[in-house]
This record gives sequence, C-alpha cells and structure tokens, in this order.
Amino acid sequence: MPEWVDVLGEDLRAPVELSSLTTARIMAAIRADRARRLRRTRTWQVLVAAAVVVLAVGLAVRTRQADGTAVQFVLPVPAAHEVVVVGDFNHWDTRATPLRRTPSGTWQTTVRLKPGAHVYSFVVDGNRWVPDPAAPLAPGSDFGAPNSLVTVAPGTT
Amino acid sequence: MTPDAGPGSPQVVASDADIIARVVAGDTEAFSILVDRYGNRAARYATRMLGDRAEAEEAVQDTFVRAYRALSRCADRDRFGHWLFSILINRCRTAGARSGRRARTFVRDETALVAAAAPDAFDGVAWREEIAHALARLEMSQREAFLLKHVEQLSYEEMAAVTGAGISALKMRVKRATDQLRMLLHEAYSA
Repeated sequence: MPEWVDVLGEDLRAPVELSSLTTARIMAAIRADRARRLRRTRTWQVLVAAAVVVLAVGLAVRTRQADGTAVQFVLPVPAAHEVVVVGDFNHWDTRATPLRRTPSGTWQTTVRLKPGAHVYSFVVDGNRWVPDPAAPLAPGSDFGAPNSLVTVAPGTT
Repeated sequence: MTPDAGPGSPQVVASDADIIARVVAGDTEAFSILVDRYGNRAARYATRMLGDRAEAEEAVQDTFVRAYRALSRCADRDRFGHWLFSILINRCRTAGARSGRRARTFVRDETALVAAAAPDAFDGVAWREEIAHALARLEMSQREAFLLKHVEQLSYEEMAAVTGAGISALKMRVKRATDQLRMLLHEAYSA
C-alpha cells in the first residue's frame, strides 16, 4: 500500500508538455544571441587586425628611423696599418668603428646614420687625423683638426 | 537528472556532453536536442512550482536561454540536466517571489481546463486543483524541496547540489511540506 505522499507525487508527476511556441522562442532567442556574438567577434577581429597593422607600420617606421641610412666611408691610404672613423655618431670613440682594408689598398666601412648633419674624421695609425677627401669640411674644427661633414636626408635608406 | 523518456526503439543517442560540444563549437541547432530532452521536465517543475502555466513557460524559456549563454561554463557536461535545473530553480525563486507578492494561488493549466470539459474527468481535475492550491500555500522553499523530492525524485545529495541548501535543511523542509500538505488536503476533503 503506497503512502499518500507517494500517490500525491505520482499525481504531480503527470506530464506537462513544453509548448512548441516556447521551444520555437528558445531557439529563436539563441539564434539571435549567436548572431549577435558573431557580429561582436567580427567587429573585434577587424579592430584587432587594424590595430596590428597600425602597430606593424609604426614599428617598421620606427625601426627604419632607428636603423638610419647606410653611409659608406672610404679612405685611400694603402700604406696605413690601421684606419678608424670617429664622429658625433660614435661619440668620437677611436675603437668603435674601424675600417677594413680592401686588396686595392683602400680602407672602407659602412655606418648607419640617422637623418641630419654629422661631423666626422678618419684617424690613421692611431694618431693622424685626416679629413675625408671626398666630403666637404665641417665648419670650425674639433680636436684641433679639420673635420668632414656628411648630411643624411630624411627618408633615405 | 535524466532526460524525458521518449518513445521508439532503442537507439544510440548522443550524450549531453557530445551535444554541448557541438553547440559550443557553433552548431546552434543542436541545442534543440537538449530542449527536447529536458523541456517537458523543466515545464512540469516550473508549472508545479509557480502555479501558472504561462509564467512557467516564460521561466523555462529564460532558463534555456541563460543555459545556452553560459554553456561553455557548464563544468560537468554529462550532468547538464542538474545544471539546467539549478538555473531553473533560481529562476523560479525569482518568479515565485514576484508572483507571491501578487498573492497568486491557483493553477491555470490549459490542459487541465480542457480535460475538465469531460464530466467524468471533473473529480480528477478538482483533485489536481486542490493539490495545486495546497502547494501554492506552502512556503516557497518547502514547495521547492517537496517537488524536487517527491515529483522530480532527486536524492537529498542531488537536491543539495541543485539548490545549494544543506541536506538536513532540505529534509526538514520536505517533512514540513509533507505535514502541511496532509493537513491542507485533509481540510479540503473534510469540508
């Protein structure tokens, strides 16, 4: 003999069918929700892609600016044992930028310089300051010897 | 929490976890399988709990939509039914508090009203209305505990998981609900 509460429970377990209208509303709501989410995702994707492009271009420009323009320094002194170039771009450091001797006896090196005017000089065999014969002289003279002047235009590589 | 039993020959059916994986991966339509599985059971609980069929349908609709939105956060996908019921229970508490303020007490079950058109069904319908009336007079937490225990037939452990209440508190609520219902239904039929 079941207890009355079991009979009551059985009565209350009589099926209740969710209406097809509610089912349709649920599916319509989640379709709309998904479409909204997709739109939001696409918007973010476009924004992120645009931000990446802007950053990449900015970075490239900055890198290019930081790297500067390649400038070749050449001094034809076949008898020299050592040639370096010193200037404002390497803080006049005689160990920073040595030149290499080519088989023809010319000394040369390449330095990347930022846009603007740069004053420099060659130092031959450790103590002889020699201006660049291929460049104009800089106004005034630092360290007691005439210096040369090179000008790098903005936007050149 | 098991799905609604459906008719037909035995077939290999996709698990809740499989369906959830499809939905989360973007197959929105697969969600209708979960609605079919749990919709009737959710509708029954909400109807018994809220005592109003239209309000119950609204609560179930809202529950499924909330479940869809939070589906990726469903920790145990094989126990989707329990998780869904915990959302439904909360939704019914909110709706119950609202309708409690409006002092609603009677069930408006269209199916029951249609059935009442047949004279021999009258006693059954009247009895069901008495039960609904008695249920509506219970405190919400007691009604909730009674329905989960004696209608949804959950264990106390399962009830604790879906309601967030302690087992001893739930046992007490079921006991008080049972005593109260016995008294109310006795009054109704001895009147």
